[in-house]
Amino acid sequence: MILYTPIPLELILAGSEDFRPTYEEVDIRGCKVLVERTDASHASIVRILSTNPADFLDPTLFPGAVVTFQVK
Amino acid sequence: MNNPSYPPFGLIPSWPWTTPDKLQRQEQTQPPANPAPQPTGTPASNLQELGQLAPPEQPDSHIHCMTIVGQIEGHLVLPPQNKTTKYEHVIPQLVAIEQNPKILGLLIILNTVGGDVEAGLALAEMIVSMSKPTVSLILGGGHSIGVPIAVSADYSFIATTATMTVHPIRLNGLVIGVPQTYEYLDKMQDRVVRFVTKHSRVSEAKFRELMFRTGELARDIGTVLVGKEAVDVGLVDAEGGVEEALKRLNELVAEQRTQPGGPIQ
Repeated sequence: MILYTPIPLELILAGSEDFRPTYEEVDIRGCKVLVERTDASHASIVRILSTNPADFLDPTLFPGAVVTFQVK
Repeated sequence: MNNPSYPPFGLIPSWPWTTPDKLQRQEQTQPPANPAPQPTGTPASNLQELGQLAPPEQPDSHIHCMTIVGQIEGHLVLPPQNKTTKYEHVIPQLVAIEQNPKILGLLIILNTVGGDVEAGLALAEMIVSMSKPTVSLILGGGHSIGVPIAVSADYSFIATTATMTVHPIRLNGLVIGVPQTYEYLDKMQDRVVRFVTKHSRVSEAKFRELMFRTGELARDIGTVLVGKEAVDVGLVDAEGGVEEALKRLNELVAEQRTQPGGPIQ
């Protein structure tokens, strides 16, 4: 990997040692997404795993969007 | 594990009542951390909850706006203090924009400090090969790998105060020890130089001169181009803001409408 940037590398990579996110794969309306749990019943979307390009223009699936796990 | 509603995959065992198909998206107006039920939907309640007004109702625009900000993230997930643009999301978005018949033009807003060479060039190649008119606008900064992305649009604008840093590529922090490393870096640099010179008015000699100029950057060799300077050297087409950019984009859209089937490049 080559980073082409005026920002010093030590600034960019600061904290990468302890950066160990845990992701889960869930299904939202037929579209698989990777989420990172923020608390007991919420998670934020990290990545969309879809081959349908339209899913990537859906604002409810944008990375960072919050999803709620519904209790039965 | 004897619970019949236990999720089939992935979900952690402390949530036996949650199945993936029961996922519902969060109403955007509702703050996720607040457990109290909130009235949602009206601008007034937005103001109460978030101190934020809902944007005014807009007619559907035929222009799509894409912002490329922060670091261009490549094959390595950067630590969370970085604000990043993730190429694996932007690339399918570009495909969707290209396919969507309702979108006639693409405005690219750039405020980036550079990032991964491969990811940046991938975005630039995607934008340059789109058949729909594209206009880029650099606000704040379009540094390093932001330069090829800026020039990849059909027409590029730079704000009067925006800057572009042009400097050589190197492996950050590593000492170049063997000739092969140097040649490899040189090749990577040639990819950027070739792309920029092919898609803008700047000549290869001029771009390399800017790249290797001494005395301008404190910790590096290279050049900082501010606003009009980027236009003068031929990197960017014109100086302007959002008004000029949208006006030019609408012109390009109108031009393309009069000659159907022909992508403009």
